[in-house]
Formats: sequence, C-alpha cells, structure tokens
Amino acid sequence: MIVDLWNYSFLRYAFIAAIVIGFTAPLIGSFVVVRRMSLIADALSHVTLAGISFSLFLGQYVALFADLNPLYMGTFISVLAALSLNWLRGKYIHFQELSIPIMMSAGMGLSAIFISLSRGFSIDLSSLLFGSISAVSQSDIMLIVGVALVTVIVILIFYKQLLFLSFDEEQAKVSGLPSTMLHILFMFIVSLVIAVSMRIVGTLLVSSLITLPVAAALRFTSSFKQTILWAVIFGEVATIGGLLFAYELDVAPGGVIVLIAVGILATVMTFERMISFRKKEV
Amino acid sequence: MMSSVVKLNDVSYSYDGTAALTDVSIDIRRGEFVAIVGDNGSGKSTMTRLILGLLKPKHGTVELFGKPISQFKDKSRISYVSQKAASFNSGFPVTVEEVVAMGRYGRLGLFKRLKTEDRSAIRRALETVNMWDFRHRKIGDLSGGQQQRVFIARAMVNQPDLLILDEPTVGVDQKHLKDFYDVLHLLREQTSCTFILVTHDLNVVTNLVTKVIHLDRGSLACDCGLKEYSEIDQLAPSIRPYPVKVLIHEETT
Repeated sequence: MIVDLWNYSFLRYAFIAAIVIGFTAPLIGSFVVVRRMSLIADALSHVTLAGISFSLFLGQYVALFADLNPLYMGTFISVLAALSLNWLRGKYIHFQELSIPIMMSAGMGLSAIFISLSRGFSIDLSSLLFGSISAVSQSDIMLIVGVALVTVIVILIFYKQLLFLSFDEEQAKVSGLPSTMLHILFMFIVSLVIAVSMRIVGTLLVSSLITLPVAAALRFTSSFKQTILWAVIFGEVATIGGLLFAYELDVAPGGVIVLIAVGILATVMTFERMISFRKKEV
Repeated sequence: MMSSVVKLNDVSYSYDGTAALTDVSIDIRRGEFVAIVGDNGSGKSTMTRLILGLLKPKHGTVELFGKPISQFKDKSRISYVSQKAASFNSGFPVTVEEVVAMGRYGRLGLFKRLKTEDRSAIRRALETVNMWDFRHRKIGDLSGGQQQRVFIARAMVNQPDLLILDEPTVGVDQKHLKDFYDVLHLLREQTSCTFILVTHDLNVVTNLVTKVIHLDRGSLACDCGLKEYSEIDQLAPSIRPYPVKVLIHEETT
C-alpha cells in the first residue's frame, strides 16, 4: 500500500483528500449537530449531485463545461441551495424542518433528469453516490484544500460568535451579534464542505461524515472544544482507515468510511455503558 | 431625579394584525426594580422583546438610556435572562465556564481572545452566584436551579446597567426557587443595576420591587408603586391585581 501510494498519484490525491475532509467535515459538523441541523447535510449533498450532473450534462453540449471540473458547479449550486434554505426556513416559521425535504426532493429530481438526459457520463453513477478513490483529481485537491483553509479561518475568527449563536440564538442577538450574517456565513461554509466531501464519501453518505464522528464525541465530552477535538480524531480514523480498507478490498470508500464511523460510535456507546454499569456496582 | 433607563412612548405592536400591545407608555428610571405582571397573553413578553430590540414597534418609540433604540449601540449595558434559558438543549456540550464566557463575547469583537480581565469577570460572576466550583461541569448535568444561577452569572458578567428577567423561574422546581431569589436579593444589594422582572408570582419579590407595571390584554392597566398596587381594587376594579396585599401587611406589621 505504501509503495502504491508512492507510485500512483490518484492514490496520493485520495489520501490527501481523505485527511483534509476527515478534519473539515467533523469540524463544521460539530456546529451543525449542536444547532440541530444534521439533516441539512443530506439536503445539500443531494443538491450538489444535481449541480454535478447538470455540469456533466452541459459538458456534452458546451465546450466550456466539457473541461470544467463538475465539482465546481456542484459547489456553486450547493451554496445557492444553502442560502435558499435560509429563505425557505423563514417562509415556514412554524415548520422550518420542511425546508429540508423540499430542497432534497428538488435536488434529487433535478439529478434524475440530468442523469437521464446525459448519454454516458465520464464519471460513473456509483462513484457520485458512494464516493471513489480514483475519482479525486488534482483540481479536486486544490478545491478541497482551499475549502478547508476557508473553513478553518472562518471558525478561528468566528468561533466564539458561532458557539454563542448555536447555544442561545436569542441571547446572542440581544448581545448585539450579527446573527443573520453569521448564519448565512455558516450555511455558506457548510455547503462548501459538503460539496467537496462528495468526492470521497459520495452523495448518499456525506452527511454521515458530518454527523457520526460528532455523535460519538457527544457521548462523553463536556466542553465544546473537547467535542470538536474528538470528532476530528474520529473523523480522521474513519476516513484514513476507510480509504485503506476500501483500497485493499476494492470497494466504494464511502461505505467503509461510514461503517468505521458507525463502529466508533458503537464502541463509544458500549464503553459508556460499561463505565456507567461499573459506577452503579460501586 | 434618576435618569431614564427605559422609556416607551405610545408603543403598539401586533402579530399578523392581532394587537399584542396598545399605546403603552412607561418610564423606568435608574436603580428601580420593576415587576411586569399580567395574565398570559397580556403583552408582557412582547413588551420585553420590544425593550430588547428583538421586535420593532408598529407605532411609537422605544428609548434606552435616553437614546432612541436604533441609536443605542452599547448592548453590553443590557443583560437578559429569558424564560427559554431553562429549556435549552441540555445535551449541548458546554461547561458552566463557557456559558458565562458567552456573556463577554458581545463586547469582545472578532479576532480577540478572552483576556485576564474577562477571566476575572467570569470568576467574579460565578462566585457571586456560588457556582465557581462547578465551572468545569457540563451545564446540562446541573439541576434547574443551578442552571438558572449560571444564566444569571452570564447576565451579570458584564456588570450591566439593566437586567431583564423574563419569567426566569419557568421550569425551576419549588426546591430551587428560593436559591434563585436569594441570588436576586444579593445582586440587588451589591449592584446599582436597574431590574425588570417579568413574573407571575409577585409575592416572592415584594421586598425588592419598587414599581409594578400591570398589563391587561395589551394595555397598561397600572404603573405604580407596590403600595398603590396593593390598593388596585379601588383604583381599577376591572383588573385582577396579583395578591400582594397580605405580604405588604406582613411587612408593615
């Protein structure tokens, strides 16, 4: 495996992508989960798929799109969808969760149409849905690293404000924090991270990488910084481990990554039970 | 005469055409402890949200510290403990110290970390409410009364000039109510802050309150001292005063 990493550039790209996404997805996911917005990742990933398939469809007729990385269009559509979600939530004040299935349905509907209109995609459908080791290109890496840098910078600058907004939105507003601006910025970053994570884990599993490491960390952490730290550790274990197994077993990396994340969660919950059981015995 | 802290001039507010507050004018002055009372739907929370700037009046003006609310920028002078504070997501992974630190975030600005003076203020606030020893505990692991004390500490960490408490004891069990009001008494003694307390239970704060604002179906039914309020049945028989008579008699005897 190490030798292959050295010899094949596509493997190197896949591993760089896995390491960066394993860090970025749980980092932003920590805020997504505590804000009770876990399902947003699903909605945005489906819309990103629509953007990618639209770009591939256009690529058959417009020369400009033929050479353009479809992930760019996917990312752009994901950002637009994230901002529209905000608008939709405002339209359904008492049923804000409705914005998720509306966006998800629109994304899947558009994806189905563009995929069926296209004659022979250059990327096969399963890699879009479940991720692929060979699908990560050099331009993907640039986009993934760029998004990771933007995410880290935004979190470093706005950590305090985002934490306050996540914990108590009303109080944050009273304190004079620009809550609407912060929320839009947050949604913008979430949409970027989801779009670029698709290459490795695929549309159907991207939300797992955002939420599962955080779900495991939440079981035993008491401060938010601890939650982020452990979520990132679990995210890295899942993505790097998942990619290694996927390569050795020749299966879609998304599935293995998610199963390892589920395994981590199950292990944490088992140990948690054992500890609480022992406490009771004492 | 003390300067004006909160002034509402003919303020009206409605939700989708349904009036919640109608032509209400009040003037709360520095150092007062004001209780806002009234039945459910009387407009108490609407008034509070208008004062906090969370709602904009449909008619009339709101002034804070002598300035129109739109021109009032020093938000750290105002603190707020909402009735929702007790119903926060108890699984949220934040420690007591992190929650109180949030009170400083509004004035910190971007790029800035908590400094020594912020840490000292957090410690002072937590010590005042007797929660310093719990600073590393997850907020969701505390009892309702302890959580409410932490939210008071967060509200007091900036040493505000105005503290607004909107039914802060909702969800706090009877056993811990006394702790909460003990803290309120302590703050009243130790600070020169102006207090606005939205409450259903005036009896527990009769020795703190200097003024009672009674709202009735969105209108101002009474804006007077506690003594006058106890005689409200002579002033305005149409509204049902909250039972404070007995305690006032007890205080005077």
